[in-house]
Amino acid sequence: MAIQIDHTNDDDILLLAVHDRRLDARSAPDLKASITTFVGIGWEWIVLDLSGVEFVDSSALGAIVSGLKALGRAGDLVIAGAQPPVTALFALTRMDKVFRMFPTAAAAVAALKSRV
Amino acid sequence: MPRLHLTLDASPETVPAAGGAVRDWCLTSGIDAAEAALVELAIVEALQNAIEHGYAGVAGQLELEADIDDERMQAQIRDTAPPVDLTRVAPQPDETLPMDRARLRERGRGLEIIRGVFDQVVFSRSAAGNQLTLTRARRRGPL
Repeated sequence: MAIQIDHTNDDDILLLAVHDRRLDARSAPDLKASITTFVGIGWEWIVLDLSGVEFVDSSALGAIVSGLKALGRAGDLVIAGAQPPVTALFALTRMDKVFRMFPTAAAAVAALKSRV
Repeated sequence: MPRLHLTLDASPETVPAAGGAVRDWCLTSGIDAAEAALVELAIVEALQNAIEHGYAGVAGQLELEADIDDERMQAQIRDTAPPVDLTRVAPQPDETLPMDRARLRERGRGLEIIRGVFDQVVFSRSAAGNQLTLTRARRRGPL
């Protein structure tokens, strides 16, 4: 299932904003393809804005993990704007220890710009 | 207290509506929004496991029942696929220690979520098929 994802950039930081309310087993392959395609063409600092997403399951989480793994040792992929159910998923699976999470896309971009 | 009873085709396409029905049932039953979202997530994971690993592409049906009282909520998921006993799967080691991106798993977190949300996960098999029984004590205060 094709997902709705917008991309903009601020210098070398790529902002991916997901507009689907639900990311699950149906959308996971497309989410993975979207992120890894951007990594494949050279983006290394990526903000995934999930502020419009109300539900993420383990399949979609796996797609986000794929994006981080695709970076290898380079750059970072961080999460912005996660709503409480999505934050709970990251905590349940300990992925909140793996992904840096920011309240807003602006905060995430600022952090990546200063490389902190 | 109201009961929930759904029958659905074993397809990823039917899971979102079932998840929404679970969330609505939780809210109607007095479970708050944060806990309802967790229960929806865990039941979606259990349904998806049965579809992917039980039926594995073969057509079939899933039955979901849930009830609640003052002490606990309980859900049963029944299917007639070849048995896949999730409860025999050992917990995965903590992949974040040490932190190494290359070691991160891209799959296999569904059971971790189910075990994280429900206090008891029981699998049973009979002539009628498989049943996964998920029980969660009613929480008071913060989750």
